[in-house]
Amino acid sequence: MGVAIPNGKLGMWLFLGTEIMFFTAFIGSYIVLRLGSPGWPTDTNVTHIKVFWGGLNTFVLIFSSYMVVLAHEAIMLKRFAKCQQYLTITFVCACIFLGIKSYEYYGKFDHDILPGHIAETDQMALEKFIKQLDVASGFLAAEDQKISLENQLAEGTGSADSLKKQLEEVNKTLEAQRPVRAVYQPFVDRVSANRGATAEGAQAASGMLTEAEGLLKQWQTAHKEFAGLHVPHPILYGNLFASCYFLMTGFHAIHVIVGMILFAMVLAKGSKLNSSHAVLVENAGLYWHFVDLVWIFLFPLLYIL
Amino acid sequence: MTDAHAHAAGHDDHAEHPHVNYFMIFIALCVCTVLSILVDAAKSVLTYQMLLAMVLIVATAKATFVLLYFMHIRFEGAWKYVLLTPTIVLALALPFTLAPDIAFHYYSVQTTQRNEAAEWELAHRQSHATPHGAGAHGAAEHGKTEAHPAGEKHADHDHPAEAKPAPKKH
Repeated sequence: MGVAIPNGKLGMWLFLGTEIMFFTAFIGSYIVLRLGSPGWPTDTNVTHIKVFWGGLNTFVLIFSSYMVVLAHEAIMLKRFAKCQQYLTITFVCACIFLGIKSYEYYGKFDHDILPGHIAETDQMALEKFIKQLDVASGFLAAEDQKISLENQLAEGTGSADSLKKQLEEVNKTLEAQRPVRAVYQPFVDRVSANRGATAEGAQAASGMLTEAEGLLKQWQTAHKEFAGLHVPHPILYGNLFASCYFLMTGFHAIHVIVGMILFAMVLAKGSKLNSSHAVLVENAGLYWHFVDLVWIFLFPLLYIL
Repeated sequence: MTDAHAHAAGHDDHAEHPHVNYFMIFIALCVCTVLSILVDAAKSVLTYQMLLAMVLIVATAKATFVLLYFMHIRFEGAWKYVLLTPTIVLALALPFTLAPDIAFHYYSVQTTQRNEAAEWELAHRQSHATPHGAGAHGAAEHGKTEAHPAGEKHADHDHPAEAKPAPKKH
C-alpha cells in the first residue's frame, strides 16, 4: 500500500497530525479551565489585551499564507526568482508578527500581568502592595541579604569574620531604612492582622485597598522612594489567564520562529533553487498554513471572547 | 475535479490540483477577519451566546478555507481521512475528559474542596487554647502554627498574626 504523495510531504502531514493534538491539548485545556472559572477576566482594560494588534497580526499571518501559496505556485512554474521574492515577503511578515507580539508581551510585563504575580483578592492586592513598598524602600533586598548571610554563618561556609562584617553592614543599612519603613509599618501591621478568610476580613481588605490609594499619595510626597508605585488591583483568575495566554501564544511564537527557519533554508539556496526543492517549499508552506490555522483559533478565543 | 485526477494519473508530480483562485481565498479570509473585529466592536449590543456563536463560526470558516485551499486538503487522496480522523479524535479526547470534572460541576463552585485559611485559623485557636509546652499534640500536629516568633505584639488580637509580614515570602 502506497500513498501517491512524496515521502517528505507524508512526513510533514504526519507531523502536522501530532501538532493538531499538541495545540488542541492547550486550547482544549484553556476552554475547560475557563468554563470552570466563573468570573474569568474578559475586560481588555484589565487584561491588557489589544484587539486591534491581535487583529492586525491575524491579517499579517493570512497575508503571509497567501504569499506562501504564491511561492509554491511559482516554483511549480519554474519561476524560481519569483518564488524567492514571495518567500522573502513571508519572512518579513513573520518578523512583523513577532514584533507586534513582542509589543504585546511588553505591555503584559509592564503591567505585571504574569503568572503568579497577579493579586486575585483584595487581601492579595494589599500584600502585593506591601511587597512593592518593601522593594521600593530597599528593605526586602537588605532582609534577603541578611537571611542569606545568617544562613551562611550557621552552615559555616566562608570565613566567619568577613561574614560577620557583611552582616554588620546589612544591619546598618536596615537601620538606615527604618524611618522609611516606619512610614508604612502601621499599615503593614493592619494588613497582616487581617489575614484569614472571613467575611469581615474581606470587607476590611476592600476598605484598606481604597484607603491605600490616599496613603500612597501622602507617602509619595514625603519619600521619593515610593515614586512610580501603584496600588495593585485584584484580578480574579488573573494568574490562570496569564498562564494560558503565555503558554498558547508562546508556543505559537516558537512555531513562527521555526517557520522562519524553514523559509530561510529555501532562501539560502539562492540562485541554486530548482524544481527539486518544490517539496521543501510545499512542506514549509503546509507548516506555515498550520501556524496560521492555530492563530485563527487563538485570536477569537484569547482576544475577543 | 475529475480531469484533475486524470491529470495526476498521467504525469506524477506537479499540476495535480486544478487552478484555485488564491486571491479570492485571501480576500475571503480578510473579510472574515474584518467581520470578527466588527463583531468585537459590537460586543455591547450582543448577548454573550451570540458573540460566541458568531466569532466561532467566522473562525471555523477561516480555518476551512485555509485547510481546503491553501493546504490543498480538498484535492488530496483518501489518505487524508486515514491520517486526520484518529488525530482529531485523540485531540478532542483530552478536553472532553477534563471537562466533566473542571468545567461542568454538579455542585456549586463556591463550595471549595478545602478552605485552608479556615483550617489554619481553627488549628491556631486550638494550639493557643492548650497551655504552651504542655500540648503534646498542639504544635507537633499543626506544622504551620509553630512558625510565629516569640516576641508577639498582637496578643490582644483575636487571631494573632506575625508582627511583621514574613520577609522571605516572594
